[in-house]
Amino acid sequence: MAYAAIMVHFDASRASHHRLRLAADLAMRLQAALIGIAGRPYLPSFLADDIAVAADDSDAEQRELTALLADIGTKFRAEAERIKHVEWRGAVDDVNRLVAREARAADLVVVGRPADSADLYYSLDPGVTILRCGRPVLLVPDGVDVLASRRVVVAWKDSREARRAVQDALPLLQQAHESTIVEICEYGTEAQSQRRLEDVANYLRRQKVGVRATACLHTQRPVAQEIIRVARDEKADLIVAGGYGRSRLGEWMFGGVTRGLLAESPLCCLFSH
Amino acid sequence: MSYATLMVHVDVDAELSGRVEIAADLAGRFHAHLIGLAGWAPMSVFLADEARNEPLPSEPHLQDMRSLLDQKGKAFCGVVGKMDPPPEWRSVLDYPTEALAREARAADLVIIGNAPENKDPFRALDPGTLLLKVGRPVLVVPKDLASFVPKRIAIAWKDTREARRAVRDALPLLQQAESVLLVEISEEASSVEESARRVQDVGRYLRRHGIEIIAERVRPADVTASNSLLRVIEDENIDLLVTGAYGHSRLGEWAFGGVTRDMLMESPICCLFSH
Repeated sequence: MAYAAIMVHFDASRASHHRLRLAADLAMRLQAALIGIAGRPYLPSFLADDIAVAADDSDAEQRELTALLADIGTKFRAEAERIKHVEWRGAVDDVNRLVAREARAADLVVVGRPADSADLYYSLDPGVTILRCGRPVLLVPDGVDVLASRRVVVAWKDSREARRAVQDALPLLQQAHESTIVEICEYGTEAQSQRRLEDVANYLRRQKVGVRATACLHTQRPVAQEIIRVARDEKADLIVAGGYGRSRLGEWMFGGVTRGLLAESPLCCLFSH
Repeated sequence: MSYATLMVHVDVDAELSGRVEIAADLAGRFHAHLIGLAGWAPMSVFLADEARNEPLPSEPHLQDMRSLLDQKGKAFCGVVGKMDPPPEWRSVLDYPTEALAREARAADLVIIGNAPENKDPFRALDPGTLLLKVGRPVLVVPKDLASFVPKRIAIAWKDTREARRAVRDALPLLQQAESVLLVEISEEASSVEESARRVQDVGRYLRRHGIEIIAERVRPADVTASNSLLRVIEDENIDLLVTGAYGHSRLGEWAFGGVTRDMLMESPICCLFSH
């Protein structure tokens, strides 16, 4: 269950150059293949009564898109030069659908945050990728171009998604020197929480992961902020967490840890759903 | 990386089945730690009016339950015998489906049966609900199967989140197999080429994980996709089927029928499901 192939979303933006550097470095270290991916949908010129009306020069537009993607692919290959097995997948297609589908070829999908100015139709939504791709998703904040993952913080909760995340993150956890498992718990439930954390710690130790500590914490603040604080205190550069244990709609309404981390984390986060 | 810990469910209501031996065998093959688990939720015997006023089970009743669970534990240890690393027994006074889903935090693979003795959620496991909640691959062992050597494995491929999960989750088993058959059941004749391309892509993914002996196939659907899969299992002499679980919602499967439900009920061989 090692990572044999890593897929990175690369659209030639500045942030994606940094992200690619990080992914390439990871691929080198884990001796994995690196797959670059980008998608641009072909949008009809306008919609009338639900009927898409294509402009006359649609062929020209298609050709333009294909050329643009080929150009991005060339840039990708130039940067990924030192990797032994490299592959480029550019397609004239909706990027969210494309990445989820093509994730069949990879063990880990590396994405960034959509830029504030990004066009809704062109940008990859990390939330959609987490929900649909069936692979762990590594979110790389803008400007971060290396993931040493010497220290990792695992945000534990007794949910399907957290169980997934811990198993999915094993290759990174095994490379880390130390990992810390934390659970945010309510007053009066510390003993049960500690028992759960110890169980997870044992699971990880059997997978040859060095577990430094387990801690159950109380907080008044939003959970995502607390997790980020712990990760900073621990000098960690990676947070592992379940993604969307509640429905995404529920998170949107009530706020949620996944949403909080997606929006605010200054560190890389690995999510599984 | 491989499976380091396996967890097998032990029924409260039935004799220990071949499943426990199969789990012990598998643990031996992976040098993995084996955990046996049984769950039984306390309840008032009758949910009549007076029972509602007295929801807590009485202490002697709880003691009976505990001693039965202890007996199950002893039987489990007897069946698996000496193991290295030594086996572990967990019994929980809770709904078995809930307990197993939660305790699966300790395991890489969960092993259950396909046919619960009864439908009482206090004592019997619900395989479908477990698949949805557990967040681990689940190996479902048919009731009367006595031994399991997964030499010939088939993957029922479909371009869904769940199938992507299943393929990755099954890697340790696939890496030990003698042959792997990747098959997509194509429901429309027009899309055969695309199916073939997808299946090739998955084949390449597997080769990157060191799995070499792969046959790729696209089969047209018989009456149903499940029928086609059952045919593949028989024709190709398959020992294990790997597949995504509940790509449709479970409600959708219940209403319209579905591969997960069919395979849970009808598969003559072990199936590994992921959701």
